[in-house]
Amino acid sequence: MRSQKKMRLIREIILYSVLTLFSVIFLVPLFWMISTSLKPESQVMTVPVQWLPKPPQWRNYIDAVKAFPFFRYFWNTSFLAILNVVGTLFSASLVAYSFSKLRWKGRNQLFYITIATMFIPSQVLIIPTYLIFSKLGWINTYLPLVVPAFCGGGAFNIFLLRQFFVSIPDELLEAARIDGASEFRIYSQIVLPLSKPVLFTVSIFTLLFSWNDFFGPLLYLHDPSKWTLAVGLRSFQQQYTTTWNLLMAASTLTALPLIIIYFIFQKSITSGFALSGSGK
Amino acid sequence: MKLARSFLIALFILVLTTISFAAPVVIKFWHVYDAGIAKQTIDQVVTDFNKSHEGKIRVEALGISFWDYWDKLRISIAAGQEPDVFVNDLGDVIMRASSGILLDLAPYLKKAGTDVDKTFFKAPLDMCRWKGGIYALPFETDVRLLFYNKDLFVKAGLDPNRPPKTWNELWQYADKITKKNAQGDYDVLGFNPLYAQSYFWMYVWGNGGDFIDEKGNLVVNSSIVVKSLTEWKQMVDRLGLDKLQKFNATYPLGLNDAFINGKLGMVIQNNTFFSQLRDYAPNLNYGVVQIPYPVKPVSWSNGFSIEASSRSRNKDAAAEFIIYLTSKTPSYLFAKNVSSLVGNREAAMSPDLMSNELWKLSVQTLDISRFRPFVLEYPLWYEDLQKTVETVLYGKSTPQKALDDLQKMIETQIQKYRLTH
Amino acid sequence: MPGKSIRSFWKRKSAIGYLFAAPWIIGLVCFILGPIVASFFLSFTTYDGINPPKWIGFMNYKILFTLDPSFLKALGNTFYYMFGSVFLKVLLGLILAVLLNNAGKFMGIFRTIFFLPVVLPAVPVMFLWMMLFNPTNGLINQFLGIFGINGPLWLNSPTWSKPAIILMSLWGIGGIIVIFLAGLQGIPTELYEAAELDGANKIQLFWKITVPMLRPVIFFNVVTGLIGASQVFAEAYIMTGGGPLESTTFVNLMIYKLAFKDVQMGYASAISVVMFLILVPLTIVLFRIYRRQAEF
Repeated sequence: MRSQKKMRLIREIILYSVLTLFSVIFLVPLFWMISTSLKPESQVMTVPVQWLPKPPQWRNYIDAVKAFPFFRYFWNTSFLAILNVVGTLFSASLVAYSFSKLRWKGRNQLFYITIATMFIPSQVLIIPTYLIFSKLGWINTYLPLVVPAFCGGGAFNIFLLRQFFVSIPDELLEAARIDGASEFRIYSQIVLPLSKPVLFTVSIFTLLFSWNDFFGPLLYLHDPSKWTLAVGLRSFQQQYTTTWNLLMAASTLTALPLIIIYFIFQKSITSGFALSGSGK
Repeated sequence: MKLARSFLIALFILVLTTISFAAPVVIKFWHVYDAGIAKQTIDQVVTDFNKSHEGKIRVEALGISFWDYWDKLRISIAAGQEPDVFVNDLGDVIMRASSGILLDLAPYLKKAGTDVDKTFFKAPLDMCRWKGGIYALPFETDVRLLFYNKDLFVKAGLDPNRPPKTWNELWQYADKITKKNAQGDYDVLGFNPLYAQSYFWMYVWGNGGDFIDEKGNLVVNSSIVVKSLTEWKQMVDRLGLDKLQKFNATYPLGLNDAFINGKLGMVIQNNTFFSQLRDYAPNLNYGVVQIPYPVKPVSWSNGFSIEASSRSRNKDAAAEFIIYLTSKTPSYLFAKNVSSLVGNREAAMSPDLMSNELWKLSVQTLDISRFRPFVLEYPLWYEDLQKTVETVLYGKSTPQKALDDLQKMIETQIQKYRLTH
Repeated sequence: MPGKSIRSFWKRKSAIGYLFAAPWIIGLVCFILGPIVASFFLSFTTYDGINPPKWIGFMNYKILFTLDPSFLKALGNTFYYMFGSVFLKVLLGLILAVLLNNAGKFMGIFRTIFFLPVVLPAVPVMFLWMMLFNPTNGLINQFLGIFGINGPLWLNSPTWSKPAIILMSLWGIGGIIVIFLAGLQGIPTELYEAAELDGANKIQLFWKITVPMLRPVIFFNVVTGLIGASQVFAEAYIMTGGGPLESTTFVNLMIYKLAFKDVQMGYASAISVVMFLILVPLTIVLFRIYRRQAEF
């Protein structure tokens, strides 16, 4: 009995030391980002390593914000993220409702196709999509980055919502239908309020995706006043110089909203991820 | 009543027409001068132009960071949304001219009474000519020069007033300057053939070689190119490719530049490099000379052209702005403020500019300097040449074989072009 | 009469169904199915974005397969990255998930830490790793230096540039860990208890119960990981520009450069079509797994 206890203790020690080691490895880059963001330029690239800035240059954050149109890009990024979330919530839930609670010809076939599109390699779409937007005169507007969100918001979100809606009992809806409620009313006043958790997950995913999108703004926006943070950060890479400390300060500021959101909504974010993997 | 109404309509039409007559034509102009003195100068030039064309033409200028500019411009052209006037690469004007996207400026220059041969340096201007037309004007050009650190020369026991003239001397001097640290990495390098603006094609030219044969065909596997690449590889191998690359990664260009930080004895750089030296290392004791040569003196030039879109709705105004921008006064202002070699010869030859030694050297070097030959069927051939050089340096192929392969590639690209045009 | 009213009832119902699904039907046609067809068409043309596309038959494909070594290289690079990153991510993700699952009340803290990099914006993360990978001043090589190891040139070396990008991708392993964790918690504990009674040790339990029970989830992660990794772009665009020696020129970067830098949209489309056809079998495999697993 005692030896078993001892074995267990040893096992736990190994377990926790391995996990702690990995935690340190995972945290060091983040620490390095923040540490660099507070360093004077002379301490950025040093041998041996300068772990902590001496003294911390809080000014870097002011300089970084001044070095590129941070607030403009922050606003642009937020604006796009909000429109994407709104568009996706609205259109994906509408489509998911149709896939789960309405009966129409070709519904199941279309749903299969929808699922299949989740796995289409996007390479094949880049050029024609670009050409479509350019023929529509949408280049250098936010439309290419927003309109797709209002067109169903992507197969994954539709799928996620549809699976949740299926679990809402049909009897609930039938009762309302007998009372003469329209489908839109049932959708907006019965189904949506019951689906708050999954709608929230979809919002967070869309927000993360939109905030991180680099390729879209890179391709579609050529006027710098319309850029987003992800693209704007490149202005720290000048033709001849990269100011690492300011770049890291700006990067920290770009990441900060997401880190805050993560710490507040950690549970629903991780469970949303788990959900996407189990496919249920 | 009726009279009153028709009077009102007439008045309305009158107001409308006056507004539309008074509203100036708007010209969009994109450039790469997004910061510092270059931006200020361009802004001033544009403001001056707008003032003198009040009510007629208004230029809206937009500076975009050098890294993003090229992709943004190309994408906007592909989308049919390019600005009326834009800065572009002087090296491949003909590529765009042949696609029909550029406005031929020749008629406008004639109307304005500009004698282009007198106004611009010949070589940069020639890069803008295609089928009898002039599809761009050279705004900026440049030359490559050798910058050397006089203090490092003295430390190595060399005469700081006797810079190397030939490639042999360059290596003799370099070896004296080079210092290794305890790990065997380079602490100080005399010269690094893979750093900054040192390009293989310049070495080929210096060896008396050429990439265009007597028939005007692009040939990269002639014996002189193969010989040059063999020598190039020997130079790199002697110093160690690994070690040179580590050196390059340690000293990325800019503030951490090796020459600026006194870690490199000699460097081949653009003529505008001195402004970085002035800003980042005001106390560095350096000299500038023409690039040493194995056989004959040579330098490489490229630059920025100003072009107008053939799809512009206001071609007259666009052409007028380009002609103004590249005329003597704005060019002189740009040359003086930014210290960049402008394509306008009259501006560049101004006595007060020529009184500066470095400026004079740059202008003189333009006489021996060359542009990369432009090949319409395969405009980016030199990028593939660079890749081929890399392949050889990494020992993945021999000079002869790698260049033969490239030659095959060139021939198929040309064949493809002919099949599709 | 009643038959007719039922039919019209269903007609109306159907109409509402289509109406609700309309945004997606439009999106599907305009942004997915249409572009796929258009890509196939463009791949048989030359198109510079300025002049109208010109039909050239199979010329693009001929050049692609017989004359352009850079495509095969880009394909090789992409597969290297796909399999390298996915294999390591799934392996390490599974190991860490199993460890986490045993971490009791500390599980939450560790999970928070492991997942944190997932929410960080991609571009700042790449800039950060460019610093870490610097051969002389970077944290990684200075750390290796402590053990007397002369670290490689990482992003500046044709051999180490892809491993460096893979290493960076491992930092974002949190998503996989969370998915595995959910899978692990779905395995009935009775299975383990029964096996333990039979005298199986922890390692045997892992191979005999955990891995087989998680097989669908592992499969899922492998295939979605492969599809996702096949689209690697920003890493090369920002960190290496495709070099050195084209060692990080991935297919998507090549398509981007050809389409938007050299403006050879026809040729770029041909590459995208070939890549699409290569990945379709993978897509079908994934779809099958997904259908078996998810109930719809």
